Amino acid sequence: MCRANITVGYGTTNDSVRHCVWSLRRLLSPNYAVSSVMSDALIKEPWTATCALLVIPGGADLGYCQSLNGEGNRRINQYISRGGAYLGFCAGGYYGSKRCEFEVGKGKMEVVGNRELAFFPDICRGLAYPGFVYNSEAGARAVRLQVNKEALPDGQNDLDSQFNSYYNGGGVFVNGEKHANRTIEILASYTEPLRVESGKGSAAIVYCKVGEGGVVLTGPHPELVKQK
Amino acid sequence: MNRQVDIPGYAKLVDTLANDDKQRTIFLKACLKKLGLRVSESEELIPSLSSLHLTAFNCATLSCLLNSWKGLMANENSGSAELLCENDTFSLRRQAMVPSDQVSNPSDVLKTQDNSTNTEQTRDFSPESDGTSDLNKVAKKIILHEKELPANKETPFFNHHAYYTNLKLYNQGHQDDVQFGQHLLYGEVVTSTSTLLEK
Repeated sequence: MCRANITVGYGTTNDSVRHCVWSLRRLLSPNYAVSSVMSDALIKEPWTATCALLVIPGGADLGYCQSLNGEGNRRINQYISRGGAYLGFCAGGYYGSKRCEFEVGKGKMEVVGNRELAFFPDICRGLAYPGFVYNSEAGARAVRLQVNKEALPDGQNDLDSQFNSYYNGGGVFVNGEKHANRTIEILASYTEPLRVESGKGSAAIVYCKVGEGGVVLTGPHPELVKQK
Repeated sequence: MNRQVDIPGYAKLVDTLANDDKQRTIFLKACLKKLGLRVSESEELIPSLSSLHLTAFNCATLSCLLNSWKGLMANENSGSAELLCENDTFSLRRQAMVPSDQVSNPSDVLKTQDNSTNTEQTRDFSPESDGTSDLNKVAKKIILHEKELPANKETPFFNHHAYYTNLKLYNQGHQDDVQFGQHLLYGEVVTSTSTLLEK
């Protein structure tokens, strides 16, 4: 059976992993087995053969750099180029972009640097909206997203043009509209004024074609399930 | 996500998100389809099986356990083997936490991983042709924790460290029952536990 692998390890939060597993199991079962894998396994085990989707959940992307820079990213890149799929939520979105600029000028919160995967060819810059505190809901909010239906597969007749998504600390994909072409597509945009400079557009969720594979990177958390 | 989190406006946040949960789901499904995945269209929630984690109060006893299963093993190769049972086939995998040159006492039932092999396996992730799975035919994966207990993130719904800490306390008060709970096979989503254990 093919698997959707959700990466866990240094940098991920327990809650993010649980939400990812729960949310994706609901949508991908029984076609795929959804499970968590330690980041070490991405380097040491032959995971690509049975992996249909690699998920990098929320947390802190510096932890992902520490675990996966070099050999880990080389394998991920190769897996995607050969037809794999990558889904990066929030920290996974920063991690999958060419450069991460998080809380620039904010002392110890600042995280700035180039990233090896560079699926999105520009900066992922945060905070899109203020108030983020690590391991806390203090900065959590509902953000209203404008959906780009043209970029989504046909048949989404029930999908409204806007919906609210959970947000906590994610970034905006800078110059999303400038990069939009055959290989980069904006799937959703922020509608409310952003706290950081976003260049052309306010891309919240992007799709990037990479070789024979595809990547979706998000600033907010569309995988977070909230029910009454 | 908990409506009782003590942050002003949090209950309203949860309500706002809950009201849009259907739209969120449709959008996320569309993203998954964009990535080429086959999403479930059914309203029935059928969770997929998770890996099983085999641990022991004393990690060294796992080697003895594996030796006792030797007669049932098949397809032994680098770091894995199959255990053929009456109902289920179990795919045994060594915990990929320690490089092979650091394993001080490897079990001779499972060979240590050959790190010199570097061939990329061909990609094949075709599901069953009718999209269903007979769970009895699916090999159940068991990860052998011979060196370290699973990290919390590996089993986010069960804390192995807490379990064995409490077991140790229990053993101190019940010297005549020290075999209780010495081995644990944990799985988040499993088939019938009685079938798994008895057959």
